[in-house]
Amino acid sequence: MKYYTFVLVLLQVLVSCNDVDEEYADFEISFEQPINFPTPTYDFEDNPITTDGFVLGRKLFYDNRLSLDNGINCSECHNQSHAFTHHGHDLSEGVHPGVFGTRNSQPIQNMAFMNDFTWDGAKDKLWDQPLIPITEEVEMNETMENVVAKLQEDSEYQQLFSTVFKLEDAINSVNLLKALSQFMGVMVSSNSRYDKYVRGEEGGVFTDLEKEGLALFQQKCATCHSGELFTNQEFINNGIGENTSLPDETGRARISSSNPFATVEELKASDDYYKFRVPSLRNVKNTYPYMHDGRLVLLSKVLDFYDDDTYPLMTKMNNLDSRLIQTNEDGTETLGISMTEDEKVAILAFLETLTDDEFINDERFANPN
Amino acid sequence: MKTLKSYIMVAFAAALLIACDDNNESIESEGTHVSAVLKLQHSLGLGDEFVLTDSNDEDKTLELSKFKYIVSDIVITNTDDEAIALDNNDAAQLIDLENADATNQVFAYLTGIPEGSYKSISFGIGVSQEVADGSTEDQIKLMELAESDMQWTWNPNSYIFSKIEASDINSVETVSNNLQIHVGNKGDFDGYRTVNLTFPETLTLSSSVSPSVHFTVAIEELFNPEAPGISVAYDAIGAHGDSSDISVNFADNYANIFEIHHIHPTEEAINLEDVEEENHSDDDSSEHSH
Repeated sequence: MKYYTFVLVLLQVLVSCNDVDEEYADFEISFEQPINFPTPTYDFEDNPITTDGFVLGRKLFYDNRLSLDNGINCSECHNQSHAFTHHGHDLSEGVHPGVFGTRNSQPIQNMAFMNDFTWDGAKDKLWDQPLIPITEEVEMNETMENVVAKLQEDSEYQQLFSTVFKLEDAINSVNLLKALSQFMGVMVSSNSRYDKYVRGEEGGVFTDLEKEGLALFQQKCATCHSGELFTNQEFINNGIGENTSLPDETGRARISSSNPFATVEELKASDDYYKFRVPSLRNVKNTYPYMHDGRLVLLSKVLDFYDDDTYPLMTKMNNLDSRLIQTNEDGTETLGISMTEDEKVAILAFLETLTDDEFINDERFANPN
Repeated sequence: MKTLKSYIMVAFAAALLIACDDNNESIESEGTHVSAVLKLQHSLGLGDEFVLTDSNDEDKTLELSKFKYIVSDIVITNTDDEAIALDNNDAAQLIDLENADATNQVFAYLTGIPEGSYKSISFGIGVSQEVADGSTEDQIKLMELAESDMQWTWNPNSYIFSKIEASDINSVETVSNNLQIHVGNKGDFDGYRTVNLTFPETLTLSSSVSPSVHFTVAIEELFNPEAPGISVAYDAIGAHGDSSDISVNFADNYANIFEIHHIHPTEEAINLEDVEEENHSDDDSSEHSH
């Protein structure tokens, strides 16, 4: 038995260069533009998406060497079954046991269409976004220099990088990030039942309740969750109150401040305090819990939050988005979006049509190892 | 059948591995000629004490603990007014007083400049938004330089352009009022600035020489510049709350702290590989001496 294992390992080592051709020759990757989607923001000229680049990016995505002490890989907090979020976690532990980040893991889908990345828009280009999770102490806590050194020791990576970037010694930070970007760029979720419905394709059938939900959604939610990405990509204060257990959270204020050393107190005065990106609602059923800190577990509670008659209530900071404030005839204000319980049932039914099982089960995006 | 397939795979893998080995041989052994050496002599070294004025108009004695900046987009102009832009993947530099010699000099070696007669040079302090938003391939070296603690990973423009830090040595008696200013492109403030300088005499570049250009870098003038620069209290920005006018004045001053003192037009030709090796052995010896 031992002998067989040894032979197997030996074979594995010897054929490692060859692995790629053997395993992945069964598909060709190219970026596919869904007809109902907007123009991509992805820079195809700078970083063209190739099958080899996608395969390399996927290998990196699922490689623990991107983290300190090779502890975790990207899929730790980005599981395909949950549209690449952290299967039900509100916040996520990084490489250090008991040390958590401060934001809910966001889905990795339709990145090629986004203007900004992360909850506060810390990045405006996809290619260098992974700098954040790789280096943040509460996430993978590794240096790019170390990751590059680890990969350079691996002859399979040497070969893969050379194939993708067409030069010797191609392993460097920029190329590593570009490969990840190619992988993420292809991760497009555009085949939900909703998509088939709007494109008039087979399987695109809505029940009456779902049709009603869509109409209500367009009327009550689509100002912010607009278009086929289901986000207007704005940063807004949506009335979510401060999380007292995360006192350093300032939302987008930290990013838009010109002072890198600004204190929380200083950032509280910013108009961007506690503003977060309007998230896409694609695959929303699978991406629970909700809000930037994952404080709402049920989608129905999210609707209860926006319908301010019901607990949890909205918090009115000075910069609460004006679209969430209605002034009544008697001069009083109503916060949020009024919805009846029946309307919520219909909207929830509609939101479930945004689940894209083809995306969630697409083997091309799964861990190849 | 399975065994046969394994044998074939082993043979194929072995062939591939040998093929991989081949690639490493073809590098030329001649070395890379250094076209010119920039010798940046700073007015202060790490650990030096200097006096600056704070926002209460009081003089404070500070001890310099960090001074580093990224140099990018070097352009050298010849006597026919042709501007030669040097590739950031070769020419971009991280100048760090940590690596200075005993006279506070840091050397930067430029390669690949066409032979000819040159009259002026310009370079950026930091990384322009155009470069940061531009080709990723053109940022390979810049990203590596930034990994030496010059990166805001969580900022749209991840490059930190410059850092200056110093401690208030009298802080035992008073509330400490340290200096800490990091410049980048953050929020609505872009601290990228371009330095333009004329050589005091024509700089002739050829394969037979590696001339050096001797710069002085007056660090204190970031705060007390010559006119028309505007003075900046050292504690008015950064950790102590930001005001964009002051930040703009401070960044502007970066463009004026550099001067070309003289050039050595006929210094002996050197190769980049040799100086890099020498620098590494210097590192080793300094480590031993500690």
